[in-house]
Amino acid sequence: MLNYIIKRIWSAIAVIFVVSFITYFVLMFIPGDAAQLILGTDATAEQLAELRTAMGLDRPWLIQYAEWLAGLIRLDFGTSYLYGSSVLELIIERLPVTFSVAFFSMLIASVIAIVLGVVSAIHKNKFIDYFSRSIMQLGSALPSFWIGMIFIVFFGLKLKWFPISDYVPMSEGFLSYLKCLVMPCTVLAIGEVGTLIRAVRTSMIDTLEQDYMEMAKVKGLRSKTVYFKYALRNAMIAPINVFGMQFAKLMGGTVVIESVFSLPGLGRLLLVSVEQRDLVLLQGIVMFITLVVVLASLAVDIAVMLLNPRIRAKEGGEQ
Amino acid sequence: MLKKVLAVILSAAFILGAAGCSSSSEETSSSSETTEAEEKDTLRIAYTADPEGLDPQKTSAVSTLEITSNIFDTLITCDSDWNIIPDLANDWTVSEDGMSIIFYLNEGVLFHNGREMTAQDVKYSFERLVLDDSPKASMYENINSIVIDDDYTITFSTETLDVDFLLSFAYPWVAIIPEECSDDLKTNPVGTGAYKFVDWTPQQSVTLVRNDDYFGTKANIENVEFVLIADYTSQLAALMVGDIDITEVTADQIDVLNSTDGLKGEIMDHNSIQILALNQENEYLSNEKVRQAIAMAIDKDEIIDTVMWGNGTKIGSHLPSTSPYYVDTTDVMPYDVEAAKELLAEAGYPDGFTLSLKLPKPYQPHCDTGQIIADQLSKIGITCDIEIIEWATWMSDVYTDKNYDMTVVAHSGRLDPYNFLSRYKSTSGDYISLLSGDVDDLLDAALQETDEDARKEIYAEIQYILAEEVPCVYIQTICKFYGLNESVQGFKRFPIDILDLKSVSFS
Amino acid sequence: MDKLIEIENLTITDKTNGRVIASNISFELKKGEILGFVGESGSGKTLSMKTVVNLLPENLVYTCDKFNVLGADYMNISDREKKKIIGANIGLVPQNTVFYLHPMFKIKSQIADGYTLYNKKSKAEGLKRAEEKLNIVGFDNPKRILEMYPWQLSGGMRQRVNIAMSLMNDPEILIADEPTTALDSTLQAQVMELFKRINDEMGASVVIISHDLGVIKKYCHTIAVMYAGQILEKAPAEELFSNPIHPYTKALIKVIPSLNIKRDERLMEIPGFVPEKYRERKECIFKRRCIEKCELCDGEVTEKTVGDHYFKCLKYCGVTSDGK
Repeated sequence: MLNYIIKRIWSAIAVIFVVSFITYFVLMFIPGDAAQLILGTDATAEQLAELRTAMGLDRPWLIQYAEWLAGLIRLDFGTSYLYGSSVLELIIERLPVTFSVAFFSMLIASVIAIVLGVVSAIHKNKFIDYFSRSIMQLGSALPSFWIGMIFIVFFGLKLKWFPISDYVPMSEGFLSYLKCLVMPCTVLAIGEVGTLIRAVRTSMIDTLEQDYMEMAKVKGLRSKTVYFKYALRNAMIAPINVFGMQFAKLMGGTVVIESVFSLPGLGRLLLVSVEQRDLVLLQGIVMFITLVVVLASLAVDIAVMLLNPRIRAKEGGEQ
Repeated sequence: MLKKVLAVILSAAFILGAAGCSSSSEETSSSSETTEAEEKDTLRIAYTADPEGLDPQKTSAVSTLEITSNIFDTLITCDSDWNIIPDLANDWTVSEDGMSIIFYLNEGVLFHNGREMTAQDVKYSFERLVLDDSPKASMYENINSIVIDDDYTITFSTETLDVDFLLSFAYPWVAIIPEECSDDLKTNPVGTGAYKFVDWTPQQSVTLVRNDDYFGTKANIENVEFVLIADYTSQLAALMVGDIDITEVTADQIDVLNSTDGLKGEIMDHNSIQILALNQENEYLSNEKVRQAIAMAIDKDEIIDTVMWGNGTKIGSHLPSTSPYYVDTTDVMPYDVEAAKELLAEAGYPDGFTLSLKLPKPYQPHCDTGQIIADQLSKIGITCDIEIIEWATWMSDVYTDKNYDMTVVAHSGRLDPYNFLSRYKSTSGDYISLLSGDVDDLLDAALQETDEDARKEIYAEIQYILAEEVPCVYIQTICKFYGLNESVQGFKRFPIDILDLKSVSFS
Repeated sequence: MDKLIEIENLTITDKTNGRVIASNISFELKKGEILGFVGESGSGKTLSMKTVVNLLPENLVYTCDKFNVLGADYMNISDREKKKIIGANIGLVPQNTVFYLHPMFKIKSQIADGYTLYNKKSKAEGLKRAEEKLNIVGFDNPKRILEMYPWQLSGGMRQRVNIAMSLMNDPEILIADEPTTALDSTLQAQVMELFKRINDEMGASVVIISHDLGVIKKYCHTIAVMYAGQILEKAPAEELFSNPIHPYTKALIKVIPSLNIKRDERLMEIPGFVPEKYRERKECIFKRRCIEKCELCDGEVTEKTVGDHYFKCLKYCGVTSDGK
């Protein structure tokens, strides 16, 4: 087991390295100049050149990349051109917001997906199945900003149940914290739920056709035991992959939701860094997202291993 | 088992949330009642672009300067009628030859950290202003000496004569800062202004509190909060719920706002012009007749009506109609489609041609205008390939590399016409410089001309030349539209990028 | 209660296409009896028994005149009640050993849950009983088996675990579906001896489904011969082998290698395939393959019971004095 994790860590490092290289490379060659954007339309050409030198932007990109990489090893992600603070700080400031949004959205979506997915699989082609499939379609088809706007107008303006544009950290009051999150997380969950229901339903249908399910019925076990103990154990394996990756995706920030609900998360930070060509900040965020995805993938694999002892034996057996 | 736990957590969370909702919806309704009854003590303004640091000398972003203009002061400032009024300096004398100005500073002005401001600080601020990473450094390179006469008297001298030199002291980036705080200014701004900095949560809000030791008339409202709301619809929603008191809106929302209880909409002329820039190095656009044809094919009234809902003033040249030097040149190239077609044929292109039209994505009015222009030009046979590009791309492709045919953009925020027009010098290398050189001498002359009337005439002539040679088609003086809570009084726009909040109050 | 299962005239059809899977099935299972169902693949033997454990696939429905299991009338009780009866009193030993045990649970986690549920026992008591049953099926070290995953066991071991699991509730009825098919001959003998012991010592009635007549012969008290969804002949084992009446039974007996082969003799085959198409018609289903076909064989098939011996054959029903 330990060997397995070590192997995964090495491949994770390789992935991060490759992604950082590609990102730097691409960003160097798209039009747009951070120094220019800072100086605006009144700067002279000499000023621009001087600033670029001061920022180190005139050196060959391989050197800039190497320097950034060296900093990375010291866990120094550099300083943002735009905000003047350390990139790491900026990311960490937004982490709680993005994490909260991602976590609660996935929570809401997962609960709905598991319930609907399981029930639809058990009652395949009956009313509840058609109902969940419709929700699947609608959720995926409707654009999230539109749903977000509707929520704002209805729940925020008319009913005044939730704040429209605010984020209250947990430390300032758990209830207000939750209230700010209800609308954005619900909107996000609506968008996610389609994929998740499908994964659960398909996997559950497959599982229900297995022979050991017959055995469970013959033994006369209660439905609850049959579905939750016997079926779900196997049925959750494939969906866990999907759930894990969706969560990782949400951790990368969701620009649309953050814009509509004015949440200071990573998505908007990413967008701003691209718009302003703040390379250092952008690289830092990209690295962070890559790391999250890699970790999520590792977590998913470990979870699957825990659930399925056969895979555990296979991997653990490689000494 | 896990599911049970999850189900319990979730239901608990939602029950608590719902309970919280019902109790705090009472809260919000009662709080809005009390705020009507009591004095509101916080002014909340929405904005869309996060400031890039709060150091006024290191930024060129208008939204940032609007915030810092309340934390910092300048030597002089201007009111909403373009008059120069004292600020940190209570008086000044311009020398006979116009090459130097003496400023007399107010005594007893305190920085927010408690220290008194003196001429030493002024000198330091100006020296810092011309450093490398300062976007506006080039505007002050003309200063060749700064002499401290005494603690409250300071003299600036210039290398060459610049009749508008005085005006350059009014801009918000010429803030006077204390040397000991200059390193952290980006995240911890300390100035002399009517409001003190409290907190900046990036991408969320900037909070200011009234400076009770302010040397001038103290601000009316105790707290100011700039709230970042990225989405226009969300801004409007926040205004309607009462979360926000002031926000910028679009033209179509003014009527709605005025008819809503508790809100009002205001239209204000802005010191800014919208232009369709033409690249004179393009094979077709290098021909003056072609540019004139384009100018005559554009119906500015239609643009103003459609994009700005009729709010905006047509212009004919590169000065806004609010400027004291403005001359109406709109009939030099009037709207005349037939004449335009003839001119195009004379130029040798009776069948028209294709040009690219690059539009900056973040500015919806310019993008909308671009669409209308494309439609209007198609009537004389010119096809426009519209490209909507990011601001960063616009800056590098269009502005720096001059890699464009046509583009729609706005220019703004100057008190003196020279700053608006100096781009047109053929040697300026600017993206819209007038390559024919016809305004070069005039511009140089204007800078030296001390007589006010004579100067007005020179600028009038420059405007006519620009109108005739059409390096750009000049569309309109832009208006800005605001949605305000009914109780907000005294909110005004200024010809420069400041937002003077000390005179704003709640009724 | 003497008759544990009483089924009369059971007919199973596929509701999606109207195909008849089994028709006119009637039999009884007495207490203490070992009943064998023998027949080729597709003869409907497994599906007929699945009705008893209520595991019929969704697309199949059945009708019958009588269907009593352990005193309960299956036609008039709910699925839930059936489940209780089945769970507490009927054990199933499935054909396929691999997939009927959940691969993600150790044996200990799945062997006792039926028992603890129906007897209101604790987990520890369940495991203790599991060890007992595992002992009965021949494991010397049941504790070790409990800690293993199904895929860590050999086929034969899994089969024995299945049997142990089916015994947990001391069932009155044990249904074994092709219990020896996947095993080699030594194991086959072992497993069949086990069933015999269970029947002797625990008094459970056993239903054995197999296509291997040799296995059935040795261990069953009564044998029913099925073909194309119908029971063609049914008799006590000795009677069936000493006096087979239906031509199909005779052919089957002839085909058993162990019983009949003399050196150099060719293995006899029964030519033709089990028919699908003619099952719903009332004619003799074996007609087309029957070597004893005669002029009496066209027309509706008839059945006759002589003492314990039941058969469904036009030719032999017409014989006034048949061999007994």
